[in-house]
Amino acid sequence: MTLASVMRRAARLLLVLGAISIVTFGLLAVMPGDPALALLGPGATDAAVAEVRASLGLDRPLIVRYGDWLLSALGGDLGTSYQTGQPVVTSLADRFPLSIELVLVSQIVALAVAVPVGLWSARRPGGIVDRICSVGGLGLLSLPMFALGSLLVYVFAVTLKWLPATGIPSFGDDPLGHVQGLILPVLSLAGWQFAMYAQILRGEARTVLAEDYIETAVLKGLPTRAILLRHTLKPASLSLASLVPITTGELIGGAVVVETLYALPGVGRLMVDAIAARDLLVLQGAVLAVAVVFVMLNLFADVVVRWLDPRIRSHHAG
Amino acid sequence: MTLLTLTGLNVSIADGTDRIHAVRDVGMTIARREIVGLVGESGCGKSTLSRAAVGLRPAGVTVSGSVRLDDTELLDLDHRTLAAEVWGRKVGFIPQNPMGALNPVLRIGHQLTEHMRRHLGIGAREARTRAADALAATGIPAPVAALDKFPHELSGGMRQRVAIAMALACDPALLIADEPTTALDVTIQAQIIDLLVTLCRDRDMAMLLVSHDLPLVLQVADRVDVMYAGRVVERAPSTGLAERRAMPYTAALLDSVPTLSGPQPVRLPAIGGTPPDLRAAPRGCAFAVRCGHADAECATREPTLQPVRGDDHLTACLRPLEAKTPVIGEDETAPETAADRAVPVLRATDLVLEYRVPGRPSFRAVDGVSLELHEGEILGLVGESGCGKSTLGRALTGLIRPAAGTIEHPAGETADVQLIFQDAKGSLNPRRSILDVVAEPLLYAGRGTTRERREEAASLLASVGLDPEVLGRRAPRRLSGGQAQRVAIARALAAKPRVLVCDEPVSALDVSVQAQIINLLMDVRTATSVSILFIAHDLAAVRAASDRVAVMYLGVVCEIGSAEEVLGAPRHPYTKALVASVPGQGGRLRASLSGEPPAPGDPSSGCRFQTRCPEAVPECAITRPPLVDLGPTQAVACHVVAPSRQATGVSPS
Amino acid sequence: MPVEQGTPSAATTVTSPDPAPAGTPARRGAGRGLGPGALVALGWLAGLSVLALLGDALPFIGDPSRMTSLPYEPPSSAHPLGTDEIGRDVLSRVVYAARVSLPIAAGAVAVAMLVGGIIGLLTGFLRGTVDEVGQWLLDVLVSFPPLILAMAVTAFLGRSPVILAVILGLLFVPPAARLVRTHTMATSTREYVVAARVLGASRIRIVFREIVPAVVPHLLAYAVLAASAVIVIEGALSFLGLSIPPPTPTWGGMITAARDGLAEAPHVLLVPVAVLFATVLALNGLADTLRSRLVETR
Repeated sequence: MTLASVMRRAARLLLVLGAISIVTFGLLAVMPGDPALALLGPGATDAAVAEVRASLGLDRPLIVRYGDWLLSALGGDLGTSYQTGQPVVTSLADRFPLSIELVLVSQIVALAVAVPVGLWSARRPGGIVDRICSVGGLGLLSLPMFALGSLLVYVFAVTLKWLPATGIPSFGDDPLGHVQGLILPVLSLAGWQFAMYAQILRGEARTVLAEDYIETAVLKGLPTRAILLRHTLKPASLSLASLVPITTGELIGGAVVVETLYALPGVGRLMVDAIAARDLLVLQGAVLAVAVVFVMLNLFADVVVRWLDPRIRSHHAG
Repeated sequence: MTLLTLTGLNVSIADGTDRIHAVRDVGMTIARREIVGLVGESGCGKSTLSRAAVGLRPAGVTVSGSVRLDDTELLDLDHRTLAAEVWGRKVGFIPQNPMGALNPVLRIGHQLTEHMRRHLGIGAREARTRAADALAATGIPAPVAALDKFPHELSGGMRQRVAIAMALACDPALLIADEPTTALDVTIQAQIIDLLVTLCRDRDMAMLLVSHDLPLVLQVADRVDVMYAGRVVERAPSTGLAERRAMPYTAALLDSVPTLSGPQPVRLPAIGGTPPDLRAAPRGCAFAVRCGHADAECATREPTLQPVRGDDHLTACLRPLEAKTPVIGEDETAPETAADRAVPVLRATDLVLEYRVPGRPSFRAVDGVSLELHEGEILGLVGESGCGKSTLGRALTGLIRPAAGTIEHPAGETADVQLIFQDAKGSLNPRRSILDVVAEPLLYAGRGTTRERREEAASLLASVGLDPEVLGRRAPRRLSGGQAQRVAIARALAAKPRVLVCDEPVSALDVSVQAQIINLLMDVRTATSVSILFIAHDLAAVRAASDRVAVMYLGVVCEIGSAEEVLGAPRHPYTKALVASVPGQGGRLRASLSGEPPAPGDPSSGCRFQTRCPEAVPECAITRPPLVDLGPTQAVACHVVAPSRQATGVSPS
Repeated sequence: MPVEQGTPSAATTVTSPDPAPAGTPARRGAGRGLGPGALVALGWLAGLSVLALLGDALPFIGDPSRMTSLPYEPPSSAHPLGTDEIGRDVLSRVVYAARVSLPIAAGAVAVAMLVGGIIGLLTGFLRGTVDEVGQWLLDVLVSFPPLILAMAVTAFLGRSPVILAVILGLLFVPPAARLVRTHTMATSTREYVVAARVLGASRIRIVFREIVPAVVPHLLAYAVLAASAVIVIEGALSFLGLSIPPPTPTWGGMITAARDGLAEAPHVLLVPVAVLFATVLALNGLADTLRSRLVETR
C-alpha cells in the first residue's frame, strides 16, 4: 500500500470514529426527560440531581458539552457508575477479557469445522455431505442464538446434567471448570457462525471449482487434497474474510445474549444490567468501546482481504 | 508408432434429466511426434473429446469405449492413478483461456513447480531452476523474475507462455491444446502457434490441437479431423485438404471463412441453419438439413467414416464432393453504392479520448485521430485489443465525450449514429419480448401507438431475416447468437440511423454464422444507404465487409485506404505484420512481429510502433509521423514509407 | 446476506464462440411453480398471520395474559399447548406474540427497503460526490454491531413498536442500499442499458424502465431475508427484556421465562422455540428460493 492510500484510509477511519462518538454522545443528549434524573436513577435526591445537572453543564450549548465529553473520553474518563461508584473504564476493563475470549474461541471453533465441511460438500454437489450441509446449514441459520442456547441448556445442563447451566470460574481458580463453563456458551455462539461460514464457503468453493484454473491444476496431475487446499481454499476464503464485518457484528450481539443466558460476567451482561438499572453512563461507555473495537476488527479484516488477494494488493500499489 | 488410440469413444453429459451425447463413436489415433488438428464449430464435441482422450471424467460425464496411451488403457484407471501417473507427466494440457487458466492467488513459480516436484520427485530448489528453464524455453523475458509474479501481472500472451511452460515441465509425450490462441491478438497468436510447433518438433512431442479455426489448423497440423455433431466427419492430411475436401460441411467451413487472398467477394457463402440438438441421436446424417447436396438417403442413414481419396483421407458422407466444386453461393457483380460518391456523413478531427481512473493518471485511449465516414460506405476499423478502436466507436455514438478534437455530422444529428455490440444478447433487455426490444427506439422517439410500433418492429424483423410470428413474443435469452445479432440490427435500423457503428459484431459467432451477419450488414447498407463503421480484430472479416479500411495501433491511425490497398498491398510496417500473421495464406505460419505492445497510455514520444517495428529509423523515436497521402485513397503514418515534408525537409515536388 | 464481490477480474476482449445452438430447449425453471418447500413456507407464514389477525375470535385462543389454570400444565384439551409459569395458555401467548413480531418485521423491512433502495439507486446511478457521502453515512451506520445499536437506542429512546420498527429498519438500510447500489451500477453498464442510451432513452426512462425493473427483484429477495433477520433481532431484544415490555407476550420473552421450569415443563420452552424457528426457517428458505430463481433467469 502506498502512503497516500494509507492516509486516505486513516482519514476515513477518523471520520467514522468521530461519527461514532457523536452518535454515542447524542443518545444521551436527545433522550426524552431529564438526563440528570435518568443518570442518577430512580430515587435520587433533589440535591444530587441539581449537582449532576451542574456537573453535566446542561445549561451550556450542546457542542461545548460534546467537546468536554470527547476530551475526557480520550483521556480515559467515561464517567462513573451511579450504581457501583466505580469508574466506567474500570468496569469495562474487568469485563472485556471474558467477552473477547468467548468471541475468539467461538470464531475459531466455527471456522475449524466450517472449512472442511464447506470444502467437502463443494467437492460433490448434490452428494450426501452436500445435502446434509445445505439442509442442516439452513436449519442452524434459522435458529436464533438465544433459542439454540436455551435448547442446549435444556439438553446438556437440565436433562443430562453434564455441564453447568450458568456461571464460570476464572481460568486461574479452576481451569477445568472454566473450560466446562465455556463449552455451552461457545457452542451457542458458534452454531450460527459455523452455518454461515460453511454455506458461504460451499458456494464460493463451487464457483472456484468450476474455474478453468482448477481444470488446469487437475490435468497437471495434482492430488485432490492439493487442489482443494491450495487451489480452491485460498481464492474461496476471500469472501469469508469479507464476511467478517457481518459475522463479527452478529457475534458481538450474540455475546450479549449468551452472557445473559449463562450469567457470564462479560461486557454484554454489563450492558444489559446497566439498562435494567438505568445506569446510562455505563451503557454509553460500553457502546462506545464496543463500537470502536468493532470498527478496528473490520479494518483488520479489510487488511487481511488485501493480503489474500494479490490483484487488489498490486492494484493499490500501482 | 502410435501414441494415443481412441476406439469407439462415446461421451455423454448429464444435463438435468436429459443427456447430451457430445461425442458419438469416435475412433482416432495420434502417432508420436504427430500434430493432429481437431476442428469444428462450438458445441460439436471437440473440447469434450479432448478431455475424454486423457481419461478425464468429471461428475455427470460418462465415457465409454477405449482410450489407450502407449499400452495403458486410461479408462481402466481411476482418478487418483491418472493424476499420479498420466496427467502432467505423460500428457500436458494447454487451456483455452490464458486469463482464467492460472490460479490468480498463487505465484507463477508455485504453479510451475508443484507438479514437477510431485511427478519428478525433485526438491524445491531444483524445481525452481527447471521452472525458470521452462519459462525461458517459451520465450518469457527475465524468467527468474517471472517466477515471483502473480498471473495478473502478465499479459495474455505471456500467461499463455506460462501455461505452455507448465504443460512442458515434465517432458510429456503428448500435448493437448484446446483453442490455445482463441483469446489472443493475431500477432500474438502467430507467436504462440509458432512456439508450439517449434517445441513439438524440438522435443519429439505429439500434439492434439483443438480449434474452431480451420485455416489456422491446416497450416500447422499434419492431419486434420473435422467434427460435426459429436462425430468425426472428415479426416485427411492437411496438405491439399482445401482442394480435396470431400464432405460438404468441410467445404462450407472453408468457404464461409473470409480470406485475405483472392478477389473480394460481394457476398460470403454462408451455411444456413444451426447444428442439431444432441439430446437425441440424429436420424441420418446430422448435417443433412443444412447440406445443399443431401438427398433422401442422407436423411435416413447415418454414414460412417470411409476412405474417399486414398487410405489416409476418410469422410463420413454418402454424397462426397468431387475435388474443388463450388458448394454454396455464387459471386455477383457489385451493385453501385452511394459510397462511390464520397459524401461525408460523419467527420472526426484530431479526436482525443481519455479514461480517468481515480487516483491514477488518466490515459489516452485515442490520441489524435481524424476520420471521415462517407454516405453508404462500410469503413473497416482494425487493430489489436487495446488499440482504442472500440473507444473511438463509442465516442462517435456520443457515449464518450472527447477530451479534445471534434465530431461533426455534416448531414444530420448525433442521434443518427447507432451502435451494434459484440455481445448481441447482452445488448437486448432480457425482460422484454423481442418485438418490444425492436420497438424501443420508436418508443423513445415517441412515434405511434404501441400497436403501430409493434407492427413496424415486425416488418423490421422480417427485413433482417427473422420470422416475427415465431420469434416476436420470445424472450431474448432464447435466441442464438446469430439471431440476437439480427434483432440488434433490426432495432438499430428502427432508429433510422445514418451511421451504424458495429463493435466486433461477429467475433463471438461461429464462422458459418459470421458470414450470415456480414452479408446482412452489406444488404442493409445497399438497401438503406446507411454508413457502417465495422470494428473488428479479424482482418479477413473486415476485408470481406469493407470498402475502406483504417488500421489503428495504440490510439492512432497508422494506415487508411481502400480494402484492396490496405489489406492487399499494405505499406505501414504494422499493417504488413498484421496481414502476415493471418493464417490461411499458404506456407508455414510464422510470427512476423516479436514482442508485445507497450502498456496502453505509456507516454513516449515518436512513433507508437517504434518499439516493435522491424524497419524503425532514428527519426521514429523523435517525432510522431503524420498521415501522409500515398494516392487518392491511401494514407500512411510512417517516417520510412512516407516521409513527411516537415520531417525530411524535402519539397514534395 | 449480500456479499459484495470487490475483486476486479481481468477482462478478456474476445469471447468464446457462440454458446447457444439452434432451438435452445426451454430452460428449466422458467415458468415452473415455486416448488413444495416454498409452498409449505408460504403456507406457514400465511397461517400464522391469519391466526394472529383473528386472535381470540378463534376457539382455543383466549386472552394471553389471563391466568386460566395452574402453572406448568402439560398440553390438554383445554390448553392444547399447556400453560406457562403462572398458568397462562401457551397457545394463546404464542399466537399473540406474532402480533408483535410480524408487524414490527414488516415495518422494519419497509423502512429498510424504502430508505436503502432510494439511497442505493441514487448513489449507484449518480456516482461521484453523492456516492462518496452516501457511502460514508452507511459506514457510520454499520460501525455499530446491530444488536448493540438496537439495545442502546431502545434504552435511551423507549420501546414502542414504532421506535422498534424504525431502529430495526435502519439497521438493514446499509446492506439494502449496498445491494441496490451494486446492482444499479452493474445494470447501468450492461450493454442493453448502454444500447438504450444510444437509442435515445432519457435518463429518467433509463432509471425507471431499465434499471429499477432489474434491481427490484434482488431487493425483494433481500427483503425476505431481512424480515427473518429482523425477527431474530427483535427476538433477541425481547429475550433480553428490551423489546415491548410485559405483559404483552413475545417469543423471546416466553423463552426467557421458560428457563426456571425447564425440568418439569419443557413445552413452555419448546413451543415458542419451534414457532420462532419455523417462521425464520420459512423466511430463509423463501429467500433462498427467490435468489436461486433470480440467478437462473438472469
